[in-house]
Amino acid sequence: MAEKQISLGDLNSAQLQEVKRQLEEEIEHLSTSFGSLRSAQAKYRSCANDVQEMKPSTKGKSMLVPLTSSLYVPGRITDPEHVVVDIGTGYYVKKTRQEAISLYTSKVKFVQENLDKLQATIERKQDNLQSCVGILQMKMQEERQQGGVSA
Amino acid sequence: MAAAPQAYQVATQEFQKLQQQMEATIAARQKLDYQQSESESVLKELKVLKSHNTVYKLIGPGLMPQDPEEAKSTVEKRLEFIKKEIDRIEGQLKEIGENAEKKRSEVRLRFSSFFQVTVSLSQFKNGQADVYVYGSMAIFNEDHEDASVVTATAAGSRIGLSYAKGVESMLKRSAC
Repeated sequence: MAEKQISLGDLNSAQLQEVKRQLEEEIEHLSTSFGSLRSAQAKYRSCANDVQEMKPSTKGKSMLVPLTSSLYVPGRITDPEHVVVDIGTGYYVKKTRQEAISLYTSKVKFVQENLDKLQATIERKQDNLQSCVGILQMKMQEERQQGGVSA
Repeated sequence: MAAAPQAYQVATQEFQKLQQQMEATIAARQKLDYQQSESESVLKELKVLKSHNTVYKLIGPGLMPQDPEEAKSTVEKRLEFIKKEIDRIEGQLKEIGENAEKKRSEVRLRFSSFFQVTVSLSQFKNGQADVYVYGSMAIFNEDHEDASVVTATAAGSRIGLSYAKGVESMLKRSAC
């Protein structure tokens, strides 16, 4: 951080503007990523909850199965012990309930780790941006004063 | 005199084209990154399967049972392909970056002398030259070496100096 400050002080005001613009872009991009990670995490969490809802006692219960978004057919749960899980790139795996739950919880944890990392990065960038803006204002004021003297 | 801004425009357009290319390539690179991490997590999942886990592949709207070993080797091949693609795109990125840098320094070299002439002109016919300098310099807003060249050339006379100051402050404002 200290090194960064020194190098910022060496830049002139237009270069600082450039640095500031870049930092702002980065922060915006990272915040968008943060949002999509959050919603992915929520999805995994609700999947885990749904699997937990399936109990041995649900066997034989009837339900409506969506064939399309507007067409449903009646069905019955015959195997509450297994679910089929989407593992990505078009592959699905039949798993026991317990396996599915542990898969989803590990996914939630994985996303959480990334969220934490991302949060730290965003905070660091915001700090950088702040010191950049501070130095920029200082420089601009100096230049204004110098301009006033010679004019 | 009028020719220089036009040539300048052509050069900057070429530079912008390179930048656009760069952006498109970066987007492709990011997509590959995304595919790579997805395939990696699928492979990780496939590796921990037990005998009671059946693997299905989504074909159209239906799920077809698949041999787990086959699925694994398919995903592995996919990963290899993605890695090769990433290497190829990295090469492209480097090339475009070098070209853009070349163009940038070319523009700087070719047109900085033009700005020197314009400013020394401004010492003589101040009214018009003022606007002219501003108009050409405003495009150059990222280049500070040129701003100092302008100051140095114009430092001979008081009028010239204040012009250069004016240009410099305009430069700074246009950079905002």
